[in-house]
Amino acid sequence: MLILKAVQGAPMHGYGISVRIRQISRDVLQIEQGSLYPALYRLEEQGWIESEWGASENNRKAKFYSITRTGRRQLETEQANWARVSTAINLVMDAEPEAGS
Amino acid sequence: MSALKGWLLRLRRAANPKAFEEQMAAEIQQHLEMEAAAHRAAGETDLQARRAAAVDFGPVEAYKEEVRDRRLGRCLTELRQDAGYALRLMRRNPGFSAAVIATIGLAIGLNTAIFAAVSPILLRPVDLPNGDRLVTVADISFHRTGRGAISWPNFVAYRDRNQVFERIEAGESESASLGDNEQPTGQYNLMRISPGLFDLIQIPPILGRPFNATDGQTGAEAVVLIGYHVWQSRYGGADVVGRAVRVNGIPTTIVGVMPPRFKFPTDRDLWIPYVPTGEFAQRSLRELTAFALLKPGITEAQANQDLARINRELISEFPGELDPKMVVLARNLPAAYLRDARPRTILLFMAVGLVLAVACANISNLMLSHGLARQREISMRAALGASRGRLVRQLLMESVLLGLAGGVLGFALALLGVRGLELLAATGAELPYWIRFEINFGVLLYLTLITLLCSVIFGLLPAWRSTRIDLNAVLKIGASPGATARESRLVGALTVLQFAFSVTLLSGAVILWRSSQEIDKFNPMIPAAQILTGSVQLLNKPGQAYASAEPRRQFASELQAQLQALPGVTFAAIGAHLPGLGARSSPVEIEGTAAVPAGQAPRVSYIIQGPQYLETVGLGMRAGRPISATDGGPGKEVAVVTAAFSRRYWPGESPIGKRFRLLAPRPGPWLEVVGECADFLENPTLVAPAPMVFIPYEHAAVGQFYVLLRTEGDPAGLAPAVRELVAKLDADVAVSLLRPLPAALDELRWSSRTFGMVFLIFAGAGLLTSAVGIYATVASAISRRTREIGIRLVLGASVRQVMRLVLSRSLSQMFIGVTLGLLVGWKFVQLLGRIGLYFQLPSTAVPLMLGLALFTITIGLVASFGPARRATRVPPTEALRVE
Repeated sequence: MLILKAVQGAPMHGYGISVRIRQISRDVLQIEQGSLYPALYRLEEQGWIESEWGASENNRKAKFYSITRTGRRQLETEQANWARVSTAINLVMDAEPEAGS
Repeated sequence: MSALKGWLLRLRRAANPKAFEEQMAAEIQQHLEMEAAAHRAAGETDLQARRAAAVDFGPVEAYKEEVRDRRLGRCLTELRQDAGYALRLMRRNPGFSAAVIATIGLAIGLNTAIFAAVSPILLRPVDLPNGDRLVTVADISFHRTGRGAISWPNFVAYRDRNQVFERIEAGESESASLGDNEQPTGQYNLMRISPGLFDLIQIPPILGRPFNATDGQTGAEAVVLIGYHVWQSRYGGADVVGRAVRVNGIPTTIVGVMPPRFKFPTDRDLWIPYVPTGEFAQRSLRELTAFALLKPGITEAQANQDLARINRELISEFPGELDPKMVVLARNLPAAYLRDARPRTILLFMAVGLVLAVACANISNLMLSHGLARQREISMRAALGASRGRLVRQLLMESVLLGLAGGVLGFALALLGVRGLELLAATGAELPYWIRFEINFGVLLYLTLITLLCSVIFGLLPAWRSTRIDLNAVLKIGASPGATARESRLVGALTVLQFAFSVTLLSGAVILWRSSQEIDKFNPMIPAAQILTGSVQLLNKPGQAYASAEPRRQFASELQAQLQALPGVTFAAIGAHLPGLGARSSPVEIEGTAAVPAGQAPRVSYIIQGPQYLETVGLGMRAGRPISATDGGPGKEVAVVTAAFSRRYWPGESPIGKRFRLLAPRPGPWLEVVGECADFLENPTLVAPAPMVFIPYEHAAVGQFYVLLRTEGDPAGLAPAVRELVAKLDADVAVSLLRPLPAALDELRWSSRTFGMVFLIFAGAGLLTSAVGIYATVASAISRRTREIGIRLVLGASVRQVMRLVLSRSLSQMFIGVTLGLLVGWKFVQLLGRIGLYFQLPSTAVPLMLGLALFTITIGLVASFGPARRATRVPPTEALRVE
């Protein structure tokens, strides 16, 4: 889900995606960078992102990933799910403690 | 839509793995460089930057592997890798591989061959249209085999009054001669059938026409359907439809030829219509077996109730003509024809399944020690990241490949086995003609299934066990994991069982072989190798040429005289039985003793013979004279007795002149003894000669007898002359089964020889697996204790002491197994005798069994000494060295 969000706006290469996730989460989410790649390859095979070779900032060849239409739909679905789940968890955590618990 | 693109992408990646690898490597490389650049921009040195990037990224190869794992076709690549590695491993251990392949191949081959025998008998017992609704209808109170004993009028009653059969036909088996003007008459198996029988089983002839209703009517022209084998062997496949022949002397026309291998019901070659005329229409002639097709949905029980009802009606309608105790039952064809064969094949199948199970257990043990020896390699792989599943798959691949190789070997052996089965079935058992032993699709499927199943089974446990590793313990230098105590006990029990099993089977095989050999020494006074025998059947049914006794006597005496005159013949004779192949039996009354009812009178065996019989078979006279050509007529009722008879009834006296008479089938005339001859054994079940007498043919002229010719040279050479002679005497009489006496006696040996061979093969397989097993156990024990052996040798232990240490366990297991096998084997041999597979326990039975025990022990010793010797030859410095 995080990867899909990261490429939602504009096409990005793998390094850029990991930087972005780190940035946006204010350095809280520091996943090992290498774990990105199996995920990227899986998402691409599922058709939610697509890739294209292009030139990076320093004019080297890099693979850029962008989101597809089905990817956008998937992102919406997952966002909705996440919202539901986190709301439910919040409700539980904010509830008044029962007497004696 | 994008999902489709995704799939295309997967295919593209799978199709070109190299490009994929390059891309992935390039992409990751890019990532690392960009990360390093960021660190450099933050002020770190180049070295620090690159290191920081690498640490942040994580293990590159591992992630690459994760990506690779998902690739389509990964499975196949892995399999290919595993297979290649397994093959290399097999080549590097040729001895081990050969042992495994031979063991499993033998077991699979045996199993497949037996399955080919079992499946037609158990799974597809009736290969005829509507086979499951076909039944035989027979009176089982009359003949114990449950076939026949129905008369034609009763059959008609069942046909017209039943409510349960869609159709019912009948037939009666007999022997008949088939003659024509071109070649000598032959004797064949014939069935007289109601004309619609082949319609009932829906098998039409391949040439000509089937019988129709008019063929079965009184006065119809005689017609015959011949079998394919007769057509080929006698007429060379020529167009015989319409040809005139003589069946039992009666002019008949061939109207058709039946399909290849058709011998309904078991071994018939000719079929003629049953014409209910004269005695064939009598209610007292009970020879027919009926064949019926049950109406759909009707059970055998319902059919039997209906038959009982009809019987009750018949008994009340024809009192006195029918046996009120008759029990007419409908039985499905397998029950009627395969009753004996089924339990035997099931027994064989279970035995051979046991062989397979033992082979698998053995190989499992082998592979276990093999796998344990590769602990370091396996641990290395695990450390490099292989999952347990992957390791197990790798080891399984080895066992699957070995199993497949064994399966190929097994297939070759099964082919041989099935050929052997075909030959056996042709000579011995009386099986329905539709049972065929062949390698068909079902058998091949079975072969494939058990090959795969066995490979997985004998591979799984060792693979699982080998990959259960404690990395630390194994990678530590010098440590070698052993089998657990429970496993050692299992292996030990396996060794004991294997040896016991092999020795038991070997006992059976050896005893059977020996007893079949001893039949050669049976009746040594008879020069069997110089005697030609043949069977003659005279047409003695009512209305036929030899229906009364006088023509039979004339034929017999003329035949004997002419046979005697043949060049090369020393003696010629006829007799109702061949010496050593049985005799008739009757209660006897000795003149001068008190008369007792026939049921309580002593019994004697007797052989009806023509003149010169005793000379031909070489039974010397001890007193008096043999039967001559003039004996047997009224006023000359004489007989010759054997010494045993004389000793029994006139001890201490000469039997010449004494009289006795036979009481069956009716009390005969008093016979005067004119000679006493030497003893011989009437059949191989006897230990001592029994009292026997010889009656002249003149006196009791039977319609079926044997000719015997004694010659100096090879008796088989006389056969054509004999055939010609008989044909000239009477063109409608056939002489069949012309063969030297030892060949006739061979029939007695059939069951001991056959089963002996089968047990020998099984025992061989068992012995092989036992040897392989003990070799493996000893070898693995040694490899585990190499350091210990080295230390002991260095400390001054002698080679013998060390070997004793290493071998003691396995050898004691072997001895226990062999002893157990001897005990069980003795019981087994007695069981075989009880079920009639041989006649007498050979006198050398005990030494033979001890001998084979010794043989087995020798094999076990050789198999275990090999690795043991090698271990002690390794210089101690080698053994003490690390790992």
